[in-house]
Amino acid sequence: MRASMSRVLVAAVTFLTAGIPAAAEDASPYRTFDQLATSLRAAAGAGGAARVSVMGKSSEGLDVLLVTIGTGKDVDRRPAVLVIAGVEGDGVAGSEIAARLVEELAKAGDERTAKLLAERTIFVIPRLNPDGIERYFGAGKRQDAGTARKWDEDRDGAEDEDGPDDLDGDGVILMMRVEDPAGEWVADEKDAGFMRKADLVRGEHGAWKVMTEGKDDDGDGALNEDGPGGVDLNSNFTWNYRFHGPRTGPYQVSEPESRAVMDFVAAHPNIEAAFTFSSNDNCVRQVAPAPPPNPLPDPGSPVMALDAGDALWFAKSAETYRGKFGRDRIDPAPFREGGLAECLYFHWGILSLSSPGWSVPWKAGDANGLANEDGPSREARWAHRWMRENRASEWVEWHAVTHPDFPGKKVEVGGWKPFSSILPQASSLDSLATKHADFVREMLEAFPRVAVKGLAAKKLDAALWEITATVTNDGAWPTALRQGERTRRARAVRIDVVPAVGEVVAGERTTLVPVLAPGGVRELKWVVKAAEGTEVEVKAETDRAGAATAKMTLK
Amino acid sequence: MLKRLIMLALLAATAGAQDLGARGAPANAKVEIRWDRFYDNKELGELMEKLAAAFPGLTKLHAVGVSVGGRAIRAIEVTNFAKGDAARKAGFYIDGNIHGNEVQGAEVALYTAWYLLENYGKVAMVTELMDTRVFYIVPTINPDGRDSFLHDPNDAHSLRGGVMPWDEDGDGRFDEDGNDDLDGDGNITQMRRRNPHGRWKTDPKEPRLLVPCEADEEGEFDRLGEEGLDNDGDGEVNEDGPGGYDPNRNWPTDWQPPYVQGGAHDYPFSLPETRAVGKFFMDRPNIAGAQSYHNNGGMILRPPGQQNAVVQGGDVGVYDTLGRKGEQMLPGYRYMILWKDLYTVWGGEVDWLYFGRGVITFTNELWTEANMFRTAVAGPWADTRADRARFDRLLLLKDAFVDWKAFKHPTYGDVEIGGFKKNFGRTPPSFLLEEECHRNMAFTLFHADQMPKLSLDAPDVKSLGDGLFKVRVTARNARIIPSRTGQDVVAKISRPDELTIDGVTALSAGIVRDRDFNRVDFQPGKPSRIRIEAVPGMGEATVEWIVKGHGDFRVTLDSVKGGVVEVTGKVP
Repeated sequence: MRASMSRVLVAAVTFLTAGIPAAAEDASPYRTFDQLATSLRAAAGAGGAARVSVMGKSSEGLDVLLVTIGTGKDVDRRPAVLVIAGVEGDGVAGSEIAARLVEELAKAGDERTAKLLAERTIFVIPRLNPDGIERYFGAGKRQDAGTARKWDEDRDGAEDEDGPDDLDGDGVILMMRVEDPAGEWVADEKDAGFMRKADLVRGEHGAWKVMTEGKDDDGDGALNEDGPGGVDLNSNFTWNYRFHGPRTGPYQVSEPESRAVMDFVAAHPNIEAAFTFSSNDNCVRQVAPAPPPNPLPDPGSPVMALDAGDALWFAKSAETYRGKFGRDRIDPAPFREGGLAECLYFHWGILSLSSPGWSVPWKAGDANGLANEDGPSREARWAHRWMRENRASEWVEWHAVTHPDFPGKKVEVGGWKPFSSILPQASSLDSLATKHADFVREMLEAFPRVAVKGLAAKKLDAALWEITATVTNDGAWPTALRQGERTRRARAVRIDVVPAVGEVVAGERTTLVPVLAPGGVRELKWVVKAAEGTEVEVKAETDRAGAATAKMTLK
Repeated sequence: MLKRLIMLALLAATAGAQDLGARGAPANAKVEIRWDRFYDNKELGELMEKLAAAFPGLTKLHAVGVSVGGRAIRAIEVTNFAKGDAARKAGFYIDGNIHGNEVQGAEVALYTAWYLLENYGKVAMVTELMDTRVFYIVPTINPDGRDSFLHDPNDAHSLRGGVMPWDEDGDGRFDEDGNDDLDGDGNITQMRRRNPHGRWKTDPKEPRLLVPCEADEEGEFDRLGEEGLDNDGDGEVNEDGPGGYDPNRNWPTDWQPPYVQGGAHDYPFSLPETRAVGKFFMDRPNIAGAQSYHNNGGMILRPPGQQNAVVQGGDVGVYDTLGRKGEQMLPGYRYMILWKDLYTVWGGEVDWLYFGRGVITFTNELWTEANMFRTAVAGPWADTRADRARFDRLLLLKDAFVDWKAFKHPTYGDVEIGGFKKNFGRTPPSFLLEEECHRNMAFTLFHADQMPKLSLDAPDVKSLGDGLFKVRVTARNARIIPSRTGQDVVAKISRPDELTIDGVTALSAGIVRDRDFNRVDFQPGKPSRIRIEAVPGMGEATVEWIVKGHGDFRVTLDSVKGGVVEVTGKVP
């Protein structure tokens, strides 16, 4: 599986990094949990359209907050978009963008937003993993995707007993390289400080072992194999879950945070679309639709690739998203095993988009300049160069340390400081929030929308009437994605004809229409036995496309 | 030891003098329990309390959790608490009745607790099992479904799941149209309507049954399904009854959502019952064997539940050995692979216990109709209604069938209602229930006895000169199941077994791969502790240390599922 840009950078250059970022600004643009909770409650209390509630607790007992934005009736049950941030423990930027997005939308100041919020709802989970994100604010900041739950990563019966160590005492966990002919890595000749795998085909031999800064704390012969920080929530969901992985948890949805969001989704069949701030990206990078299966799978077998019919709506949304941020990358994004965004699509049939909110900018054209360089290291090298040009102060040169586990060997510490490659400039946060808020508005405007039209009655006899009506979808998306229909999570459009008195003598009183395409029309006909002057109502409703009614008096 | 022998002899003598019982169940039981009937959840709890009160040093009761309907799920822990640390003995887990209608699993499980307790100190093998093993017995893990089956109008197949509402027909309404006990007899039976154009007729051999007409023959009846009404007026009958999910599709291993696996519910352990049982299991990492009781069909099922999952090679041998023994002990039962010989199950309990927890586990499908006339049944899907009707007629004096009687149905008009009662067909009749309890218990105790039984040979100490010595120790397992199953090792479920040496200074350590040719895998890290994958079933593992020092030393083998054993030695 290929990792996103920032992940590659972290993996190839810094692995797990920790410590205080050098780019410490006078006032952090990011909010601690207490600051987040206080500020969101203040925003909700300012008379806008938002209300804040608690949907669960983290493993350390912090609240998982939910902000519900909407005005009018049945806010909780109307077609809704779900925005989730701070899924990963280093998702500081996404959580901040989501908080600012709440503050902007909750004001409902403009007519466009006010109109949307009167009919549709925005649910925001601004920080699903509050324990993990709290680490950013702790002494010795540590960049790690996990929660705070203790976890035995190496299955030796002890939890968190051998994490990274700050060997050079600079308050930061960086990378470490050990000169060793058994290592697979070489120091690159073109880009100073860059480490890459030796190219055996070109006759190179490895010269270094590369690992996270640290030592063998528990004397088991392995370094940094079980550090603090537990389960990566973004690997703990139900679709394509990886059992017995090092950080995937004991089983799917095992964590209080993942359960909170799953229970919420199960209780809200009205969630039509979702946007998740996470390192996995299907907006800037598009997800490839499934090739036609050959041979055809059993009807009951699990769906493992984006349905070709649904891919249209994903592609359209991703295009809209890319247009706002000027980022572009057309190589297909991978699905994440056990990922949250993946679970929402594959198991709940929700139009589920995901992006980190910001990443080291990458343009398709930039990659071409590196096309002939070092294959697998290509992306890491590109990111290294971008960082050197734009964030040079975040680089720590390789420098020698003495190491208890490698007596007599040359050991050096260096690399990019934690968080340096995954946080945007503080000054860009407001604009990022505004653009994401606008993206949410555009999603709401595309929502499917059922309507009842042309209700009419033809008199067949003194008290016998033929009633006709059409039910339409006036939105830009179908009333159910194919995966929503397949999973039965996107409920059929239910159409009822209800005469105030009398009875339906022909035709079905209740009709279930599995899906209406955008612009789709369903014609209906009934014969009703009722006296002249009786009121007849036709109702159409489904969780994700709203409800509509039409009434008439028989005459 | 001598004292114990005398005590046992005395016990045997006194028991013998008053023993009017047939061999098998204990005569003169301290707690008298009838094993020819079913007990509801409250009664099961009361029986567990009676056992706990009668055998205080041998029992502990646990609250496992609370069901959706607010009923207690309870466990009884059975072992000799005076001997060893119960939490470090190899544990055997037993549950029953995950499907509410499959009631007799609870009686089989409770019988096991009763039998062990009543026979402690009387039957030597029971005494040894309880001294060296611990049993965790949860008679019912679906008390809502159980009590519904026993107390509410049902047929033999309901209530399979629990009582959390579920929208089966996708109309946005929950549990709005279930069965209705139209004749008020406490059973949900069948509805039929006379119709000369119907395609069913009276069975000439068993006139209470219907059989299909010949193609060119006029019929007598339409079959209208189970007793019920169109409660919600949507033109369908009984399409969305209570619950509507399957607790045995709600476990993590290979869980798939409801569109792939019907009944799976929202995510693994989304139900409070499965979640509580999962936690109870995970809180006891010493569990090394497990058994789940279902009904019916006379099957001893092993994983995998789906065809792409692979049971580790060594574990297949263990399963085959135990399963084939089970076929001897349970006449009419067949040892089967779940997906291959029955059907695919995604997210089943038995798969999680094996693949997720690394524990050799069987699911027994209790009661086989082969027991009715002691004749073979042609596979799991054979139509045995005629045999059941004959058995009912000849052996139950027609007590298991509600005879057809007329009913005025609001939609269908004049119909007849009748059919087999709910407690016939999937559960044994009273006089075969006790047999089912005992035979299945015996199979499970055979399995429990095969959990790892570890020991250490006396250390072999060899001088290397200059005050240095080589100490070799061999660990043995006298049972079939390894201290960690192949699945446990491959998936790293429990930590490796650890061998430590105290009293001398270890300078180097290794696992001996070949004792004769000195092949050693060196142990990384600190040398006082050696981690080995497992002590194989009916096998051994040898380790060695190079040590410095003099005098007594102690070697400890600590296995999560196999317990702790020690041996001492001396460096001259």
